Amino acid sequence: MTLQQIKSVFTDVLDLNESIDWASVRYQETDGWDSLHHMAMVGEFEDTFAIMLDTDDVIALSSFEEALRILGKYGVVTT
Amino acid sequence: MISAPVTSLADARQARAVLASVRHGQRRLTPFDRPILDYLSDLSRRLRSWSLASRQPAVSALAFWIRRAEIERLRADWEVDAGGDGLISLPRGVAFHIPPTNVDTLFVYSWLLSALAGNANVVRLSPRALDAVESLMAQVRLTLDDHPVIDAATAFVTYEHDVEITAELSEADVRVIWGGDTAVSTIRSISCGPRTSELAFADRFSFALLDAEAVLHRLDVHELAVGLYNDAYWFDQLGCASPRAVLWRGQPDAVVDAEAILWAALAAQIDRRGGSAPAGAPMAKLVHLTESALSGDVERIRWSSGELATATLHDGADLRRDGPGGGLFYSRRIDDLREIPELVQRRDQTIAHAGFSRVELEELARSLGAAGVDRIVPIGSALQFDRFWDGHDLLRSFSRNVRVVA
Repeated sequence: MTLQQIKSVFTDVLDLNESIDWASVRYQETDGWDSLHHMAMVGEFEDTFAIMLDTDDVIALSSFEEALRILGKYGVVTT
Repeated sequence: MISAPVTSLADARQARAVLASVRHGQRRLTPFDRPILDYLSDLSRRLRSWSLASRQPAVSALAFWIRRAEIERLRADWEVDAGGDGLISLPRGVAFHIPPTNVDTLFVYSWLLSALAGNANVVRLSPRALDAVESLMAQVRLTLDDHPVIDAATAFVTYEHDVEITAELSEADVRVIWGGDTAVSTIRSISCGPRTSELAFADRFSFALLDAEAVLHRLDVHELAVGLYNDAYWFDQLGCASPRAVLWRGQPDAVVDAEAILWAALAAQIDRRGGSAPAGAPMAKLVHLTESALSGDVERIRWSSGELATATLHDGADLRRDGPGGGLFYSRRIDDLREIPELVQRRDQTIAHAGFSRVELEELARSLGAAGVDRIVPIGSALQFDRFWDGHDLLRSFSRNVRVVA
């Protein structure tokens, strides 16, 4: 469920296709993931999971893999 | 009850009625209270969706900065300071904001910080600005509809320059003027109430301060470039805190080498992350660089791409403060931080630094005296929304600090 929710934030905000190679999803490399969409995703993650990201983590959340790791720090666990 | 998105004021009598109405609404407000926190949360969400649909970076940034995480950080800091011995922070009452016409989203920051302090607010939007902010105001309005307590304490008004209306609204408890320089002078010629406190924010300039040796040998240049990219390119260098020049401390050879390394790293960042300069920016930069070259101040010009151009000023030349942004950096070398107070002007706001110790930076700050500069922060955090703005603690300025001794 959680993994799906995380992916949904990406697919909703970045307009991605679910079937993409998630390992390659990266800030400024993936089409549509610019600073504007980055800020929107941070907001979406925070609202979806009722968390508040530290400023450092906001900047570090630069790929799908990083998102999983960072959200994990805030108790968002993908089982 | 004011229900139109923006109320057109016909005369001073109507202005007085608006002021009285929001003042009445203010009675239900206290600093950092539920109604304003909830309003901000909702507005952030609404603006976030809208900014995606409409692709507006400034709105995106606004939504980001008023989201719950940031407001909670503000509140945490606030609670630490506010409970000083025998001090109780209360609202001032009604704040009258006069935002600039050229930065669309700025009025929201001003208004919302004041609202966080528990004030009612009247915001004057220029008739010329209305088209540009129409959609943003629609979002603001829609959200106010769901928050009657805040709605009752908020009024957006518009009117052509009118001394009587401005004078009437200047009977508020706080008057905030966001420049440029001319606007500040003009409004200041209209007096405010005897107990009205006034904040004025005029034209500002910001630059980066780097140590050449540190860049060459100690710092992670990639990280530095990431930070400089964030500071400069998020708002096309148009934010008042965006660095538009780089001051280097170091020996001439070291500075030449360090510059080359830094610009290459920044160019790489731009390649990776994309620049966002608006369509006319490369041309505007080219024009500006040409003028500078002709003035004789410039030693070297580097045109890296449409997104990045740099011009090295001669030792001793004044910093060029009138550049168009969009990825144009002037740079200059100094031998010692002690040369900075001479270089700095009152309009300088933020120094984004890298390669200096806390001791050096604090000594620098003290040496500035009244010369200028209100913020000295690390590269990468120049644009961080801060309640400290141009030397003012905005939250404090929007509050009354009441001394209670039993």
